[in-house]
Amino acid sequence: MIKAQQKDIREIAGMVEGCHKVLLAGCGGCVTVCLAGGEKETEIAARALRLIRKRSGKPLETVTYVATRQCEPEFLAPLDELVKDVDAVISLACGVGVQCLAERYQDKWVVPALDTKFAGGSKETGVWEERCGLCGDCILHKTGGICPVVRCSKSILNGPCGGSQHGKCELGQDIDCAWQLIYDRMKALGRLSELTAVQPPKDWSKARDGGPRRLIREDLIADEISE
Amino acid sequence: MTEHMPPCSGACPVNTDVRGYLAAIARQDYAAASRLISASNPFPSVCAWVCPHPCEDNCRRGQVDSALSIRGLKRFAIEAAGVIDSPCDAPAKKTGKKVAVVGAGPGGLTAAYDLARQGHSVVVYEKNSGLGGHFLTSLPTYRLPREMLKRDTDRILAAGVEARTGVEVGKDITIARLREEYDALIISVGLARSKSLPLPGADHPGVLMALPFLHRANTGESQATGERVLVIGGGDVAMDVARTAVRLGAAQVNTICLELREQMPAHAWEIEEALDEGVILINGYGPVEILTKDGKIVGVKAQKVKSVFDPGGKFNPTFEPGEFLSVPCDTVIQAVGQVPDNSFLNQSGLAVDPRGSVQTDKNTLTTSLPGVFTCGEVVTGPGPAIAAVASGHRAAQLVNSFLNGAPAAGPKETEVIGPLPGKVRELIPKQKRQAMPVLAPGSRKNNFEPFELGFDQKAALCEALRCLSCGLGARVESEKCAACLTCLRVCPYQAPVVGGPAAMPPEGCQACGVCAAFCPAGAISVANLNLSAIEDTLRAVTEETRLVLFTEQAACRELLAAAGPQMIPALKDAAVITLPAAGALRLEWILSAFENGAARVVVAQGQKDSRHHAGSGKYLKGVIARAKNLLEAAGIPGDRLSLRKLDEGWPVS
Repeated sequence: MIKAQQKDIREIAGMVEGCHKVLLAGCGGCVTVCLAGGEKETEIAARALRLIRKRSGKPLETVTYVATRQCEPEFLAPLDELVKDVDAVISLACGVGVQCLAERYQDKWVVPALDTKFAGGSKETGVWEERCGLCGDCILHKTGGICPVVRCSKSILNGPCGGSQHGKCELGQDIDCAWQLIYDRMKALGRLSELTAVQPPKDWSKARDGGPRRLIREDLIADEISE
Repeated sequence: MTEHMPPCSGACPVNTDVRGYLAAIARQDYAAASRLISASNPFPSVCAWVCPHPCEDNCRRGQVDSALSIRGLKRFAIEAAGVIDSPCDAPAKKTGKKVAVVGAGPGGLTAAYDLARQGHSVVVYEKNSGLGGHFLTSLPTYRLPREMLKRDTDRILAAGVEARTGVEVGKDITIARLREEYDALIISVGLARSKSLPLPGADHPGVLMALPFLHRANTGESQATGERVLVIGGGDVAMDVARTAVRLGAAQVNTICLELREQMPAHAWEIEEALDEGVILINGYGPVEILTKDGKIVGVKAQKVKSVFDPGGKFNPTFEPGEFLSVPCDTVIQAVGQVPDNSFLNQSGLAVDPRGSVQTDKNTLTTSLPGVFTCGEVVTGPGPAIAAVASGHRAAQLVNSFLNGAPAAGPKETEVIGPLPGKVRELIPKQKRQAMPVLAPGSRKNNFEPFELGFDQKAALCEALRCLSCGLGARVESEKCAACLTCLRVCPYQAPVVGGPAAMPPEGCQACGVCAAFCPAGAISVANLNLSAIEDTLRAVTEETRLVLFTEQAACRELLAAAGPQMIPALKDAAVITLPAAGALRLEWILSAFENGAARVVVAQGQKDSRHHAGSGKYLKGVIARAKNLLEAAGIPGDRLSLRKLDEGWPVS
């Protein structure tokens, strides 16, 4: 899932400095799961902003709402009324949600309360790690289920590099060398020989390098003519 | 949604809200505790002294260390609250219907009380000179001071019940006459006569019966008990008789019963108290003859028991041939059970069963005559008084329906919370049960003074705080739940089950409130956390509020005050919010307190040995650090928020 982190409250306060009333829109999807933008965090952000503004002598009125998922237009309809009399909308969703709100409310100042970090999973309570680079051309079957694109600091496909020392990346002792992990796992699976095959250069056009991406499921595209 | 009943309430025949009144004691609201105790029981004071407390036998804390001293706490609450006026005690608008109740024991008086509160005119006929049945006549005064009984019967009379004492139904007035005068009749005569074993020599005048013996002892009437008393029987009444004989001055009191010690029907604590007072038990022997010489009792011959129960568990004693024992004594008191006194049946026209008792349908409590009902031990057989109270409630319900011509609601169906899962049991911190202070055996065995002294406030608070709050745990609003697993990860007991939306099994959830504090979706509510009261307290905070104190239950105000003399002035102007565990604190609340103008916020954790939920506070430091960061962003110095542990002292600046 998408993992995000709340911005420093001072930065959020700065974005809405001239506003008198704001809507804080939380999201019940990924950012609830990573404890950054669900009902609880929306409420904390609202109270903290009010406190900051009250202390500075410029009280701020807040309204809060948590959409089931901000990335789906159908879930945004209840916000239509709420945004009418606010000066700005603070989205506690990932960047997708912020943009969905900005697209829907063209005349509103929509600002992000979160920094969208990565696609990842939980390591332990309160710790999340990146696991997917969203490259659009998965090769995990070739690398023992360990992604070199995001877990290797250099994203190299034929590793390790010379910076791998005792299983750690030269960037820091807290970073495992992805290729050491890949090697160990393939060895444990009895498939070490598969690593001798040289991986060809990756087609990065399927990733961000090919420009904004779009997914289309033909079987879900309504065909009005045959209807 | 199924309401889960705590096992204490489930085991109580009247489903007393034990959990509720223990919580009220813990927050020092003794009037509320007393009201909850009285809500389903018109004998709160009596039961506070003598109830055999099936609640304690089923308390889940007993699976961790030992059950709560529930009866001791009930007594504390009743005494601390004093007599409380309750609007529900005022007689209701009269219905014009008249009901007669025969017998003023717990069952009859309960039925009378309920019916009077429903507006019926109720008259209770009692052959004794006072009200209370066995409470009045049989229970030794060292176990039940009679002013406690009077307190309860006064309340029953205040509800509009009329009592006609000294009137023996069947002799002074017949059932037939009562049927003419009243719209309905409830027979609740109890088991008023002692059973007698048909032993050779049992007709000797020195062979006494338990109930008359106890009655005479209670009224101070002299009776000829010798130096060496032998009590026959192994139940609670036998123990009462033996302990009364000790108090009347017998030099030696033996009890003899068929059962081995662990099989005795008497409650373990009463056996132990009797032993402490010098009573000697002779277990596994059945009396076969009262031995006399020169017209005087000299002993009892008893035969060794082979088995008390048959393989099917039915009472069917067998004896070892030729193995006899002689127990020297000069007085024998039989305490082998009670039977109803059926003299009220005289010319009643009521059908009787093969045992000679009034024939009763146990479900409808009806008899062979329309409008004549029964309740209490005459229906249920011997049992705790609280079971007779429950029977009285049911009779009142049925009679009320009969009088109104409407069908009665069936008994309430409830689901009792199951045992603690093994892993949860291991994780609950052990807390020692407060012992009930008692007079030493040497100080109590020569008088009839109450021997249990009752808890003081500190002991009561400590004991009440041991309650596990069974069933007051987390509930999940599944449509809001994101199945993020946070609840499972922060739960000190690993209680949540997260497949799809989280589920909180009431057996495992300990109602600490930590999961709700961290749920990112706001999907969890915890009944043990009075959210609206917390929000109200925070709303009432102003710039005049010097301190907002979040304190976990185990560090309640009284104990906080005891932590140091500096605390008392600090608490004077404080807004205090009590949480089941400090880990249930929500960052939002801290922000609200400061937003509303609080000068300081302190989060207090109890002392380590009194902490109720081990591991529940492990995220507190991080929460406080994050809150300080947010406060500093608003220009509020972080030192206006602090986390205090009482075992580290209480520095108040």
